[in-house]
Parts: sequence; C-alpha cells; structure tokens
Amino acid sequence: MRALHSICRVLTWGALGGVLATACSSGSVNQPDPYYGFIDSTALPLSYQPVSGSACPPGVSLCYAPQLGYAKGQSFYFYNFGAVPTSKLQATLAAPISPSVVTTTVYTFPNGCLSGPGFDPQENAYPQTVQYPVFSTLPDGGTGPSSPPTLPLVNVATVGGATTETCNDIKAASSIGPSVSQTGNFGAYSTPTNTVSLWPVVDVSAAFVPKNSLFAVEQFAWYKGLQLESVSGGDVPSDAAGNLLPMDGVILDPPVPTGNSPLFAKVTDAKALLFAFTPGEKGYSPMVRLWDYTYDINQPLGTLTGICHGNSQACTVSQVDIDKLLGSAGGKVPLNTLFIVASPQ
Amino acid sequence: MILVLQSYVRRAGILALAAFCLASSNVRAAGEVGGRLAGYVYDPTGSPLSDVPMTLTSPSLMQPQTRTSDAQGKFEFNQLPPGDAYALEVNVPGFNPVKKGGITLNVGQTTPVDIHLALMTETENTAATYEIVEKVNPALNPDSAQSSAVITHEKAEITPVFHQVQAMASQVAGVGPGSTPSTLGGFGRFGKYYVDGMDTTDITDGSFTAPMNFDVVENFEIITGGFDAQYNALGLVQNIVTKNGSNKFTYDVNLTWSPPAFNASTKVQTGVPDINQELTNNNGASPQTSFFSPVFNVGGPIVENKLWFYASGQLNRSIRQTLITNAYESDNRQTTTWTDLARLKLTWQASSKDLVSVAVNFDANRIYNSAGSVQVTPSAEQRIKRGGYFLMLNYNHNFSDNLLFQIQAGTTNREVDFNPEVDGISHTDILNNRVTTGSAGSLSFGNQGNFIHEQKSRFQFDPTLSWNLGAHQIKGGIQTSFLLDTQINGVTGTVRYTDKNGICDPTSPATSGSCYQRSDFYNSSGDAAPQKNTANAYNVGAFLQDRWSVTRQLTLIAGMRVDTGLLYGNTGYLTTLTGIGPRLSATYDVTGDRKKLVTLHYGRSNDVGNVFIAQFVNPALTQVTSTYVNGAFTPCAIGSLNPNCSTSGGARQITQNPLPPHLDEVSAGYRQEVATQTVIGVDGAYRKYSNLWAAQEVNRVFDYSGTRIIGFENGQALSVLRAVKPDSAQREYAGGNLWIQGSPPHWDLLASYTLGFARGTVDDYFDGYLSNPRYSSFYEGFVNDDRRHTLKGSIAYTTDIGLDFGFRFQYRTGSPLWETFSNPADPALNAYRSPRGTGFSNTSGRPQDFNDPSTFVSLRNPDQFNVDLQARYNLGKALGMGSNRVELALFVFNALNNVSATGFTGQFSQRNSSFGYTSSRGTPAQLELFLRVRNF
Repeated sequence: MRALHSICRVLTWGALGGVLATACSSGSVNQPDPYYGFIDSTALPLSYQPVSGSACPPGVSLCYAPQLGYAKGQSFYFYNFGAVPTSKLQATLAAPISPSVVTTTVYTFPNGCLSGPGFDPQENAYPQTVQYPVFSTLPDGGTGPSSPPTLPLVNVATVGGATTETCNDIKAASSIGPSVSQTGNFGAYSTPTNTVSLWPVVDVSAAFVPKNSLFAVEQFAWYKGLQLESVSGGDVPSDAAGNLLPMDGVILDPPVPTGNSPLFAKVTDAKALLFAFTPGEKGYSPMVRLWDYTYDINQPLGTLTGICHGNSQACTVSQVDIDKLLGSAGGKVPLNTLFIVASPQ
Repeated sequence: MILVLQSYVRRAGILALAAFCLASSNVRAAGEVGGRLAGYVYDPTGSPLSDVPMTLTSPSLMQPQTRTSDAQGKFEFNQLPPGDAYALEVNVPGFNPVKKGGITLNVGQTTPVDIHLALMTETENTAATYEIVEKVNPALNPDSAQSSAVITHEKAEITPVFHQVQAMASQVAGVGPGSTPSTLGGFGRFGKYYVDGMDTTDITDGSFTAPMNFDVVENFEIITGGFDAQYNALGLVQNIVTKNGSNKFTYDVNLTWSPPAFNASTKVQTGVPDINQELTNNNGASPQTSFFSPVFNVGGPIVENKLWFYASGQLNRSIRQTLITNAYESDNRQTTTWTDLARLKLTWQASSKDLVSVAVNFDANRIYNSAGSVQVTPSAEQRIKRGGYFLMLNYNHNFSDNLLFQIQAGTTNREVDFNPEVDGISHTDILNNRVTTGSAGSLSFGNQGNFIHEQKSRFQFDPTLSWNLGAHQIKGGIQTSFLLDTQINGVTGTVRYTDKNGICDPTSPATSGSCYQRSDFYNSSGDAAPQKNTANAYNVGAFLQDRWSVTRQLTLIAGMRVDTGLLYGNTGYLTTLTGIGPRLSATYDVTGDRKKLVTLHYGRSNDVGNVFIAQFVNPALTQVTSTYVNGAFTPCAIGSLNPNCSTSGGARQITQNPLPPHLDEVSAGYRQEVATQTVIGVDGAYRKYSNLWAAQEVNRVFDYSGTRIIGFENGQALSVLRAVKPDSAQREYAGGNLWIQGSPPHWDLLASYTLGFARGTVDDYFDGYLSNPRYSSFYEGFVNDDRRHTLKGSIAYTTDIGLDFGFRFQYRTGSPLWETFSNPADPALNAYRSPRGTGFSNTSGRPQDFNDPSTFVSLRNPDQFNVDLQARYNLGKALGMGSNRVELALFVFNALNNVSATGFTGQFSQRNSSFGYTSSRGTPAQLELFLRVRNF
C-alpha cells in the first residue's frame, strides 16, 4: 500500500506540475497577445452599421453607401456615421467642445516594429509586417438620455519602446504602459498627441462604395485581441486651447403648407445636407453642427448647394444664409452634430 | 555487459536491416490468436535444469504438445488456443513427476509456470505428484510491456453489458465510451479489431466492421498501448478469438427478451433548455422500446482429435420509438432494426505439425426510419441496409519445437446502402426549424448526398515466423492488405430545395413566396447524376522483434517495423506513405517471483492510409445552389461568380509528402499482485499524434473576419480542399490509469480510474481544421477525447449455489464543448470566436458579449454516470443436471434510469439560438430477460 501511495503522490504532483506549466506558459511578459478573431460588428451602434438592399451595388449584400451633399456649390459624397444631440457636446454655441468628451484612445505605432513572416492573405489571419493601431474601447452604443454620447472620435496616442516586437504581437491596450516609467508588454508605453480624429469602427463584412478615398482610408486595428476595421475621417481641428472645432452645416427640411406641423429631413437623405467647407479645405471638420432650414418649394433639393454668411458676404440664390439661421434661432444651439467621413469624389 | 550490449546493438541493427529489406511498403498488424505458456525448470538446488521433456494437454488442444527445456532451463509453448484447463506434465527419471493442472491461457498473454523438481527417494510412490495450479494470473505478463486486459467469455457472461462484441473494449482502462471508442487521446478511427487474426476494421471509418455473434468468443484481448512490433496501431487493438469446438459436443441455446413493459419510457426530448425536460404539448402514448434475440451455438468434433466445428446463428429484432414533436406531427416514430448473424468455424489438425482453421461470418442489418429525428418528417426518413461476410484462414506449421510458421489470411466484403425511405424531392424549411420533408436530406455535413451505395473489401495475407533462439525469442513477418472501396453517392432527383415557410414549387407562382434556394447536384463530369468514386489502398509492412530474456528478471523487447501504403483514387495513383516504427520495451520482475513488475516502453506507429484517405481525395458530389430572385431561381453554372450562386463539393487535391500521420508513445507502468489472483497496476503514458490529416482550403480567400469570401485563387467560385499533414495538425495526451483486475475467490474485478489530458488542433481527420485558415488559431485546445476523469468497473460475485451477480458502473467527465457559429459564407463551415473547448457562457440568461474575450469560459458536456446490474441463476444446479446448465438471468441497463442530458448544443445563432440546449439524453432504463440452456 505504501508503494501505491507513492505512485499516487507522483501522479498527483505530475498532474499539478503539468497544469502549472500550462498556466505559466501563457502569461509571461513577452508573449504575443492572443488572437481572438474579429469583433462582433453586430454589437456596434446602429449608426455604425452598414445598409443593405438597393442602396448597395448588385451582388453586395451589405455596404456603406456614400451620401450626396454639397459644399461651396460642388456636389460632395460622404459616409454618414450618425449624429448626436449637440447639447451633449456644448451647452451653448459659445461653449467650447472639450476633448474630454472623447473617451476612446487609439494607440498608433509610428516608430515601427520588427517585421515578421510575409503575409499570405489566404492562410494568415493578419499580417506581421505592420503593426495595427490598438483601440482602448469599442463604441458601446449607449442611447439613454443620461448616457454619454457615442462618438466616433478617438484620442490619438503614439506608442514607443516596442520597436523590437514583431509586428502585431501587441493586440490589446492592456499591453501598453501609460508612461516610459511604466511600460507594458515588449516595453511599450504611450504618449498623448493631443490629436482627436474621426475613426468610426465599421463592419468588415460590408463594402465601402466606392473605396480607397484619400479621406476614407480603411484601417485595421486591435481591441482586446480582436481585429477590427475602422475608417479614417481625418483629424478634428482644434483651437489653441485644444477645444474641438466643428464646421457648420445645414439640413434642408421639406416645405409644408402653412399651418401644418413642420417636417424634418432625415440626416441620411440625399442632397439634404450642405456643408461649409469641402474636404481638405481649411476649416473643414468631420464634425458638423447641423442647422435646420426649410427650403422653398421652388428650390427643391439639389438647387441649394452651399452656405454663405449673409452678414459679411453676398449670398447667391443657391446658398443658404447661415447668419439668418443663426439670427432666427436666437442663438440657440443647433439640434444635432453629425460625423462624416469624406468619400472619393 | 558492454560486450553484451554491443552484441545486442549489432544484432538489432542486422535485424532492423533485415526488416527494412523485407519491407516493400506498410502494414496492418496481424492479430493475435493464441497465448503462451512459459517458465523455467529448476532442480532441487534451484539451478536451471536443461533437456527436461514436458507435455502439455488441454481440451482446447487436439493433440498434446511437447517441449524440452533449454540450456537455461527455459521452456515455452506458443500459439495455444485460449482455455482454462491446460495441464503440464513433467516426468524425469530420478525426480518426482509433476503435473500442473487448471492452467489458464489467455490470448496475447504469457502464462508463467515454473517447475521445481524434487529428488525421488526409493521409498516414494512412483505415481506422479499431482500439483494443481488453480489459476495463473495472466495480468502479470513478464514478456510484454503492452497495456492490455483480457476479458474471457466467463467474465463477459457475468458482466451486465449488451451482448455485442464491440461493447467490450470500453470496460478497459483508458478506453473511451461507444462502439468505436477513442483510446488515450487518439481518434476512434485508430482502433484495430481482429477476429481470429483477421483485421475486420472498417476500411473507411475505422469502426468495428460488422456485428458478430457474441457467444462464439472465447477471449477478448484489449491492448491500449505499449505495442509490440507486430502491431501498427495508433489506437486500441482488440483481439477477438473465437471458440474452436472440442472433442465434446456442446450446445448453447439462449434467448434475450425485452418487451415494451420491461423498458422505462420518459417523455423527454432533446433540443430544449436543459431544465425543460418534460414535453407539455404531447399527450400521446409514451415511446416504447423492445428487443428480442434468439441465439444458437453448437460445437464439437467432426473427427475426434482431427476436425472440430463451431457454428452459431443469431437473430436480433429491435424496435425503438422516438418522441417527435414538430410543426408537422406529434407522434412516436418507430425505428426498426433487424440483424441476422451466422458463423461457422472449422479447425483441422492436419498433422502433428500443421493446424488449419477456417471461419466464415455472415451478417445482415437493416434499419428502417433510421434518423428518428425531430428534424425530419416520415417522408424524409432514411433506411440503412448493410451486410456481408468475413472469410478467415489461419495456418500454423511447426518446423520444430522452436520454429513456428503462421499464415493469417482472409477477406472481408461488405455492402452498405443508405437510402431515403421515400424517393422524392427533398425540401428543408429554414423558417421552420430546418425540418426536412419530401425526401431525406443530406447524409451529413461532409456528404450532401441523400443516398450512398458502397462496396468495401479487404484482402489480407500475413505470414509470420517465430523462432526461439536461446534467450532470444524472435518474431518477424510481413503483413499485407489490399483495400477496395466503391461509392455511388447522389441525391434523389438530383435537386433539393431550401424553402421559407412552405413548400416551393417553381412551376407554381402561388408558392413563390416559399422559394428561397435550389441546389442541383452534379458528378465530376458535370452531369446531373450521382458521383461514383473508387479508391484502393495497398498496405504492406514488415516487422521484426526480439524478445530477449537478459536475466531471469529483466526482459528487453526490441523491434522495428516498416509500413508503406499506396493510395489510388479515380484517376489512379495518388500518393505513397512510408513510416518506420521502432519499438523498445523492457519489463523487470522486481522480486523475481512475478508478483511485482515494472514496464517501460517507447514506440512509434504510423498510419499509412486507407481508402478513407483515398476517397477523400476523389471528387465530392458537386452542389450548385441558386437563390430565388425576382420570381425565378438564378441560372447558375458550376463555379459561377454570380453572387446569387454558390458551388460546393467538387475536386480535391492531396499533398505529396511520404511522412504519414504517426504516434510516438512513452509509457511506464508498475503492476503488483495484491491478493490472490488480483493485480493492481498504475500506468502512465505520454502520446504525441503528429502530422494528422487535415483538409486545407486552397481556393477561397476569406475576408479578415473569416465570414465572407472575397476571392478565388482559380477565378471560379469553388471550394478546393487539399489533403495535407502539417506539423500543426497534432494531438497530445498525458495521463495515467490506476486499475485493478483479478478474480479472488467468488469475485471478479475489473475496475480503473483514469486521469487524462488531451489537447490538440484536430478532432478527427478532415474535421474542419484549415478549412478556413483564419480560424486555425482557435483550433488549439482540449479535444473531444479529453475525458479528464473516468471511473469505471465491472464487478461480479459468484455464490456456491449457482447464483451470481454483476455490477457495472461508469463515471466520465463530460467531453469539451466548443461554441460554434454558422458561417454565412458557407453553412457547411463553422465560425469560431474562442479557442477549442471554450465559449461564451449564456447560462445566466444574459446576452453573450463576443467583444470581450475575457468572458469566455471552458465548456463541457455534462458528466455521465451509469449503473448496470445483472443477476443470474443456474437452475440446472438446483435440478441436479450435472454439466447441463439452465440459466436465467436478468439484466438492468441504466438501473438508475438516468435520462439527464448527455450532450449540449454548441451551435450559437443570433436569430434562433439553441446554444446550451440539450442535444442528447441517456437512454431510459432497460430490463432484459435472458434464458440460456447449454451443456458446458
């Protein structure tokens, strides 16, 4: 029986040793972050979801279809990533939009990484020749009156100290330390850039129509070991204090007979949005304060193609005088703030 | 010692070279059909005594066998039929004669019997001393490091187990559940099942080929590891040796009867949350089960001491009703199974040196309404018809007492037909729980056809030579087999519809609202017709093994085998696989009295392929699916890039790499006699299964999420699978068994506890690993055969009044479960979000958050516990009928009537998820009455 006990003890310790070895082998500091596939895009907020049906080209079941608007007399395509109540960003028109409303950080790797084996798009889940940015959170889709707004905006931070890690070994924000004195996996640490960009997370199974815009760059990234796709809408301009600067826009509401309740256009309606600036132009912002304007029946959608400031310039018949809107609104804050990603024109 | 080792190494090298020269290609192992009796003769001083003649007799032998001890006093009798009444007689002038009786010989085992002679004094009676050896414990086999257990027919009779040959192996330590069990982390398909030395393993799925008569079996030997060189197996080896008959005429007639009243019936169903066991919408009669099986066995002499026979016939009639509740019916569907078995074996002692046995097995099996599933209506049921025969030949020729030549040869031939019960057009309604009507749906995800006609044949020829050379017992042989398989696979009407809330008739505009998809099926010529595939495999191998009795206590068993398989498909030659299998084992008799034994083993076995692999490379039935758009089904050609068309099946490829899937095993064990005729043992093993077959997708390119196909390498919208054996396709097993086996007075014990861990990337050959390379990293984890804890036993108690009791229990940790998702790009492919063996638990009722990997947990199916009971009474004893027995037995299977869940659904669907629902349940308690009349 003594021999039996000895054998049982050896077996038990052997099994425990195996379990410990297994446990220890998966948690050491310089292990690449585990890969857990792609995010579940169905959990994204509705405004980040693709559309289906006739809005997509033949053979494409899900897509992000460009929407037609105007700026400075030119037609202008963009992708619409929804609007939030402006009141959640600024209490009054004069109040600054603090960058603190942005809660997501995207960590970028401008210093490069160690290139791994070549990428075979058929066999490999992700390349090891480039390091994807890392998201700290995903948009949570909160819609309650007291919930913070779901913004497709991110704070951009750069990552240093990890240039010797194989590209894409870092897949989670938890692997990045907050400072050079508190590094994370592979010695990675972050440095804020004070830049806020528009990077909505999108459904990878949906197609962008058309694609490859200068301003609509599809970008893969990581979140907790999950791969995701986002699209870059560019940086949000800011003032000297770092406050975010939106640009003005107008949403054209349909006319109604006198005495009837007003109708409001949908923010996704084609030709119903006018913007102050064209993409790339100084003053352009992917963040748009939308003013409501009811157009005249004699000026149907498509005939109004620009915004002007009547107080300081002469307006044409195809422009909406935003100074009058401001005056008629009595200084109120516009209802919604829209987020757009410019599409190839 | 060094010189000895050098000599050994040199000799081993020569033997290895000889083995290599013998081998022209792979081997299926020849099975074992006999046991060995061996020992030493000692004089009164304890010194070995040479040139001692001895005679062995038994009712199992047609003629006595004689041997003479060698210079070390050692003697050995080989290839003895299993039996329990052997007697060894030694009569040397000047010594007291000795006769040892009651010796048990089991298949594959060595029964050690030592003779200690005493000087005869003049005053002593010259009559031989009759020393009775009641039984010799075969569990301590000093000649082999194999992990094995033998279940004799006596043990089988007092064990509450279904009387099926394929049900026996799972009683042994390390063997999983079911009739095609996995062993020590391997696949079920790795098992090898030999009947009288003939490999009867199914040539495509690795299962036991066919049912055979249970009562004709003399011994079941189940080997789970530490294989000698004669075996090329990655899983268990089961040697089934049947009865030969004897000089005494025997009869054995029995009847198993289980009417509906003997079977518990519960109105529980699967496919519902585990807590909702009882149906609330079915007020009909409870489903019923019944079974009836008459059997006869007769054996005896045709010519005494020359020609024996043993014949058997059996009928099985089984009815099992299944509770069906779906949108079409609420009823008990009846599955009827008929099985007819027959067997005849002839054994002929042609001369004192030649023994020939020939056997033939027939079986026929038909199953009506075989699906018995809530997913199909009666018009979509399936019918199975299968059967065939085995023909076996064993020839032994003793060139001398030390040189034995054997041939094991034979053939197995089987036809297997899966057919729809109704030859109509199949419709599956996706808005109605995917219930199928009209005609049977696909046979499986891997086979979209709804009928298959298959012919399978095996031809085997295995010559073996066994040579005793002093301390070396050398065994070598060539093992050849030729496997042929023909399959005709198709769909009735060559078309199938997937509907939406109704039956689609494309000629009737009124039904257009129900039309969704139509699938047409083509063969590899592009014709709308069944696909016919042929596959052949030639397996040839050679082995050479030296069992070297280094000392009285230490035995080294060194061997080498070379295996080659040549695979052929429709288009001819496919590939060749070649593997070398070195083996080295050692046993050490710690105290020299065969009561404490240490074993060590290393070995490699190679799977050099069978027709299953070759058939996989043949083209699959091509399915072209078109979607209903704008009032019509889109016209689709094979491989069309039209997004409303999709093609599956079609051509396959195979990688050219001679390295076969292989198993490396290191094991160690310790066995000790702890009581009379009772041995306790502990075994530990590490196994690595490498380069397993996987099907790699080589044409489709998936998007980053792995759910959308974004391109095709060859420009055609097709899936092209290539059979590959990458290093990453592997499994590992580490575990140990603590077991007890023995038969102390009145008792019979076979019990074990197994702790095992099995990890890897594949659950079976071509199981989906690499079918979508983006998911490859998820495939690493605990595999289905990670049973973790297994506690099982079969215990019997025999009284002196003809009454005995059997008790059998099994506890198993539930197998790992892996949460899967339907892949929108191809429903035949799964999508994954977490590693194998894990998933996102939703038992709390909260929705699963797939974007938080920290929330996934290990998933397992429920643990299983089962108890079976048996009581048997020999009325013949009470009636004073002598050797005639009238036995009345009662079996109770699942005595606790445990019908709780045995499996959970692992598939998650966003829209109508049954994830976590019960997918299978325990079979209700079943009572069988067994009446047997026999004269032995």
